[in-house]
Amino acid sequence: MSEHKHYDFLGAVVILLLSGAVIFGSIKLYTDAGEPMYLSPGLMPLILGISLLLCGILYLIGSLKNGGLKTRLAEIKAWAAMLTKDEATRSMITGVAIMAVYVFILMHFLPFWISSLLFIAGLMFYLKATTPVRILLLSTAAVGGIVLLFQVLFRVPLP
Amino acid sequence: MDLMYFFQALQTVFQPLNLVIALVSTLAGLIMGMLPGLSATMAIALLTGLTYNLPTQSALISLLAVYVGSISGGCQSAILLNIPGTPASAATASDGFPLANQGKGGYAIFLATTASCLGTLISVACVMSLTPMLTSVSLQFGTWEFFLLAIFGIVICGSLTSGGNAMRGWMAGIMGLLVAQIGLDKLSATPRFCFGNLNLMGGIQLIPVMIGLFGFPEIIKAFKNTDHTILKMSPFHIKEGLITICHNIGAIVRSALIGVGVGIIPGVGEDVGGWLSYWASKSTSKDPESFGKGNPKGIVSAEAGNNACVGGAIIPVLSLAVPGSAPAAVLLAAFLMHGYRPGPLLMQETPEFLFQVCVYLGVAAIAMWGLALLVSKFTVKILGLKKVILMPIIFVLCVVGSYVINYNMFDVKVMFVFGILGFFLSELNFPAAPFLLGVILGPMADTNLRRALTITNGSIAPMFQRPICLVFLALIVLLVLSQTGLFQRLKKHRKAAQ
Repeated sequence: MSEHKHYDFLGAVVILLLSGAVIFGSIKLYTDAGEPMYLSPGLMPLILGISLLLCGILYLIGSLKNGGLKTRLAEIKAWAAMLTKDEATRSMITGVAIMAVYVFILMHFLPFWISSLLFIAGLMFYLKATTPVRILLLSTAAVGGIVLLFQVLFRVPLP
Repeated sequence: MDLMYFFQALQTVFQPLNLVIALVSTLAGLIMGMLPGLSATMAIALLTGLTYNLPTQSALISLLAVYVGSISGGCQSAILLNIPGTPASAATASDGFPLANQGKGGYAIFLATTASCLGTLISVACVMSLTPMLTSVSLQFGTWEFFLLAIFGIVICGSLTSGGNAMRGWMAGIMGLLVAQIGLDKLSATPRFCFGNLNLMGGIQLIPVMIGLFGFPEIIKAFKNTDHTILKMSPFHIKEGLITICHNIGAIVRSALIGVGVGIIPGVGEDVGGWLSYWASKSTSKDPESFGKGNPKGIVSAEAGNNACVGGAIIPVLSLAVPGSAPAAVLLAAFLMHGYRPGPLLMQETPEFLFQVCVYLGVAAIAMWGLALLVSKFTVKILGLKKVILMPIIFVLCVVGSYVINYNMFDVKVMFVFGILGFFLSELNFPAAPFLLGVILGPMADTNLRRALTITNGSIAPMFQRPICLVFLALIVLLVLSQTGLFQRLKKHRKAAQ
């Protein structure tokens, strides 16, 4: 088990919820198909869901050793409070948000090279990677290289 | 007669035009293999169109060189970034990245490249000598064997990569197998877990999942203000690398033979070959705890194993016209496009073809070794840049790699979602490799289990009556029991009794 028992506890809870959903979905697939279980498209998901449930239960039992449920809940509360104040976590969330904006918004409305240039330069500015001039040069060179390699040399259409 | 074909093939490959084509194609394969998401399959598929106007022999050289180059190229980004360029290099990252973090990136690349070259050369020898025998063994595999092979792969990989808690590895593997169930069921075309989404009905593509699981966590970690680590590369002497290779020559030969065996089984690719070879070396090592922390044996085993699959996967292509792996399937299509008819009649119709393939593979392996070491001097510098500079560019490459699979933005979104999942898996100490292997092996496990049950009207008894199945079952039970600590307890009891 890992040093952070509350991580194991959290992982086990998520696994148990997931296995419950999979078992429910598999039984629905079985009843909808109306075939014997061994022919049903729900067979493999059901086997996997039950396996995951068993593993999840064993994992949960392991995570509750040395302290029990109350200790784990207290650890999770303290961990969540620490996360909200942690500068590195905030930086990571902002970085992921910038990546999400690039994937879900910029790429839908702008050509690939413009959206990628904006993304690379924007993220490097946010991370204070180097001087502004070098950021512009690096991002232009990177996007130019990618377009040259894929679109020109390999004739692969880019988004 | 055979020698005459062999020397004719050598003569052809050493013609200036063909030699240049071999070098350029190997380099193109290496570069494509290095870039996350651009798999060997895609490299061959892209090159097939470009080779259409080339003379047949030159096209053959080009395609085989790209195959060898792309499988080997993946190790460089796996070692330097912990992002495998291709799924085949996932096992290499386990020990390659820790070694690079110790400042030995160049040394790790030398070991990986040399092992790749040796693995390919050994597999070429196997293609020439063992083709008939190995083909007959692979033909013994039926539906039950394929199902158990998939389960065995997950159990091994979960045990190997879990870092002491196999349960996490197995759960990750089961989650991967579940992801593979999404989409239209292969036997009855019933939509499973699609929620009415048309894109999901086509299933989840492997490459976006791989990029997300392995690439995303590394990119996110670079956003931590505290993480400004730069890979420091201390110079190494080739002599040091050669000594390590000599010390591990047994592991390389064993891994290459495993790779050939895995490659010859249809549907099981280079990634499984890499993991199985890695597992074999770890389980026979006197110091298994050092694996995953930068053990050179782990690198050479994984690379020799995955590259030997290249030769292994070509054996059923030549003898049965059944590809041993996804890249080999594209290669088969390319052979057909260039007028060859691989299959049982190949040795009667075009006996020289086997020798041409072997010689071209061998030359490509040697070209790959030289070029990869040359290129590594630049990649060590490029991939060793400050992470905050490198990672935004890597993310754009990840987006492109995911997009070009189907030219569909949905795959980019899949990569993003699995990236977030990969990050949480990494934070909760769940290994990503069994998850990926689950996605690879999921369709094989599902379709073969249900086909087998259909044949037997729902009975599982035949699974316990087939020799290969019994071997797999015994291995699975032994692996699971070994992780419960049962054998250690038995040892203690014996010692106490003595």
